[in-house]
Amino acid sequence: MDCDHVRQLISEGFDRQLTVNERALIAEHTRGCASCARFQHALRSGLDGIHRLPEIVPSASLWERVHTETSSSPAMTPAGVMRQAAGMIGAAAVVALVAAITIFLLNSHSPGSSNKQPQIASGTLGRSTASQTVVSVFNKQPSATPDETVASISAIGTSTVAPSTPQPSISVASATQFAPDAAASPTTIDEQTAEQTVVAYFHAINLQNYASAYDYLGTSLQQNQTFNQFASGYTQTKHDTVTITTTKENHLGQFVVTIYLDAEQNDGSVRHYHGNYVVALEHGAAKIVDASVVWDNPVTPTPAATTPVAACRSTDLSITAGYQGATGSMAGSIVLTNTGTKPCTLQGTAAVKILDSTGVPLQLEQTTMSLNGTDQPVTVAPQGQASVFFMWSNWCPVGTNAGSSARPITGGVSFQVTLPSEDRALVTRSTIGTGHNSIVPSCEDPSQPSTLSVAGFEAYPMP
Amino acid sequence: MERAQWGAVVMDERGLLDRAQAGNSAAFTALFDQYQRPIVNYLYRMVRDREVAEDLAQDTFLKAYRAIERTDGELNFRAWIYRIATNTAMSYFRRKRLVQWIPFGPGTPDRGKDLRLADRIGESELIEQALAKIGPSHSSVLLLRHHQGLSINEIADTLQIKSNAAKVRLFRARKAFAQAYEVLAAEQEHA
Repeated sequence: MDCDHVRQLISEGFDRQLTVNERALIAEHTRGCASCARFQHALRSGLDGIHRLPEIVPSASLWERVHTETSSSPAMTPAGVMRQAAGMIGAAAVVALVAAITIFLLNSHSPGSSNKQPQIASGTLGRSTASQTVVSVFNKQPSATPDETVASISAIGTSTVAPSTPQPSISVASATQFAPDAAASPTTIDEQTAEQTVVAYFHAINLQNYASAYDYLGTSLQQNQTFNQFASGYTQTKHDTVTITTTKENHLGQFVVTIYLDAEQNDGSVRHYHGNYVVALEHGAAKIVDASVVWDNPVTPTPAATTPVAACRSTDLSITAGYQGATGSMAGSIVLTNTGTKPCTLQGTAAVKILDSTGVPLQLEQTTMSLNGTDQPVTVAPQGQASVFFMWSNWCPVGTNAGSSARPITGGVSFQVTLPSEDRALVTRSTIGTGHNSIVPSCEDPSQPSTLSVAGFEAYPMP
Repeated sequence: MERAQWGAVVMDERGLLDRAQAGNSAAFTALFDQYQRPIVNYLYRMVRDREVAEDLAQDTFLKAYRAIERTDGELNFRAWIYRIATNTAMSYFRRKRLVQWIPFGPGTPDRGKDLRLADRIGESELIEQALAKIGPSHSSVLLLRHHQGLSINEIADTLQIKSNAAKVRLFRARKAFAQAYEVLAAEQEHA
């Protein structure tokens, strides 16, 4: 096989799982071709480097620039404009909603102060720590109805990323975002726009686009909290799932969107909230102008699982093996199954021996083969599997000439595996071979030892 | 707004795209929120300048905004937005006359002073230099696959070529990149 073909196979190995034969071909070729071995190493290191290139966080100004541009450059057809007049407002309203949510989270009571009663507190925008009951109230407007407590906003969920960008200027600018011209600026909003605003607000929160989220808040809510306070409040929430149950218009012409919310925390616990978000037109854009959200289930945070995954023990593993001919060598895999009840890790290179039918090890020289270029631990779930790839070459028992093959090993062979950190060996239960005789590699050079090249542990099947 | 019987709001990308194609600007905003970070990062790795990357990202989203109503219902938004970003970046390179094939290898004049900086550069810089060496045509396909995580089919969609052609493009890009990386790494080691 020529170098270009081998390099193509190496390349394809980054897109699909190669067959045992293909892997054997690569291993065989790169053993004798320094140029392709360097290619393989450079490609593996380089592509891994591309994957690990650090990410940058877009500046908040990009959001504003795009929205400013779209507001002055008509894009939608007249029909689309008419159809979406309210929807355009919705974008701004989403911004307002985000801020509202955040506000709720900022002010809080200590956790555990109540396991039954929803808690409402007064405060400013933003969110504090996971250990706080995240509810705050803003008395801005009279409630439309007694049960629509529209005076508070809660922020649920937190994030680990706090944008360092300055507080964006929002409000009026966003009112015209996506509006093709002044004449199309909406003067009213509808139920759909209000719901879109709430959805977009949570969407932005989940994407950690806090500038966008903050922009969905009305002026009064923003005045209660700076952008940085808002963003820094999201430190513990992993994901918010919002469900809108009803949307009603109140006597002020605002829309009260009733939701319940499941906020997944970074520690794995889930907090449940319910409440109302109030969406109204503000300076020509839909904004979240108020909200009231309460935490339904104050609970003691579940301690994070800190127990590291232990190394696999041979007593919790079983093994099977198989191999086939590949360019004169024999290539195959030993598969290890975790028979225990807990995940465990395998790392390094196992000691492997091939035994004849009487249990006597064949005279082989083990060498280490690099397949993945790294020695990362492989975590094996209960009943999960890992594998060890190997190549057996140059089998030249007495009387075998170079370029020929020895007779198959009568009675078959079995494989013995010893983990790097143990002395106890695992042995395959059944012997390997056809008709109880095992095929063997061809003899390349009788003056050289037979080699067994063994790779490190890999996930099985490969991801 | 789509609702299940029990009132849940559906927020999947397909729903957002359908609404954006129907002219819903709020839905487009949500799509922008979702893609602005990967697109900015993709462009940043192409042009290696943050300010330029954000300018190109702005152009990308504005082009998308103006065209989305003319797209069909089967649009793969992810591939489409990367296509616009790639074309925008290529136009930028053409404007700047930066599209060029830079030979490398033993004895080529290009292995000069910048490579002697290798001992001061980290792994990321080494990768970035290797990407710069192979030119935007190769680097774009590598970044789409290995930095942005697009599948072969998505890359084919992005580049508007067949899947087999995408595989060939990827292989050629990898060969060029491995060679550049090997040379730069050797320089770094021996400098």
